[in-house]
Amino acid sequence: MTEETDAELVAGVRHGRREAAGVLAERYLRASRAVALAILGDVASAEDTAQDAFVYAMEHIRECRHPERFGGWLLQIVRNRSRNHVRDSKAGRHESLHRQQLQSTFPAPDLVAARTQLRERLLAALAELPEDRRLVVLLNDLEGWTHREIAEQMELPAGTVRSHLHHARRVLRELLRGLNEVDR
Amino acid sequence: MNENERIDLSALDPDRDPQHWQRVLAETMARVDGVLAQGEDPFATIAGWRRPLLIAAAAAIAVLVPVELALEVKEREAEQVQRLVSLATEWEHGEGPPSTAAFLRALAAGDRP
Repeated sequence: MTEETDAELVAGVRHGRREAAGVLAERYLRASRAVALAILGDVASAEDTAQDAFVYAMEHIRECRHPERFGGWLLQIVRNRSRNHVRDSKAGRHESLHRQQLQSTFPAPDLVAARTQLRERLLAALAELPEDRRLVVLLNDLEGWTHREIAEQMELPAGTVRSHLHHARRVLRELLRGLNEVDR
Repeated sequence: MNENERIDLSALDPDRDPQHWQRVLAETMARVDGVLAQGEDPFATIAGWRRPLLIAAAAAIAVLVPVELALEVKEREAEQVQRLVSLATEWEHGEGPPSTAAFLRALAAGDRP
């Protein structure tokens, strides 16, 4: 069976089709989480924001002027909501507290804590990158989006996507190597 | 190290805890169900009719205009015949043959715009 296009799915949601909304959620909720994570730096808040943004998008689906570009529209909503969240919760103070917690919890005693540690370490390294680079590296290396998909959905030139990715990976490798050495 | 190699970000992958991610998806869809159950707002529904209404109006115009034009032609012809008949009746009742001007007026009766 042919996969429905975003435009067809958006039309389906406009006619109240739940399955169409379900397919859009399967297609874009992970990426929404990645975009929110790039801005918020916190998994739980990123998941909440991605969910809120998706529900908002379904509620206002008639305002999606270019249904074939639903993904880009949704990710823009996610970005706006994440930025509002940062502004409202005074993220700077939150981030510094977060880093103090990281330092105080090393080394962790069991596997779950070790996984959490790894995650927090990655988030701490990502926090050192500018937002656009975080977005690109998360969409490419975590979500598996191609350069072209990122360029189209985030409305960035393809060359910028490649450049962001190159720099982000270089900085992340250095930071993660440094964190591993400190940990030994 | 090759900078084109991906960074291993799997620790951030929601699929590391699939049950949790399925729960997030299910919660999202439950909220979407609520949105879809509210139905469409009346203005949105009317906005949705705009296109079919325009198509129906265009189709009606496409059919009605030629019909109206055809009826108008028929009407003019009928008027012309009626004038000629009344001219002939007047002649038969002894009022003499119609003048050329009266005959031409009768012929021109249906040509008025």
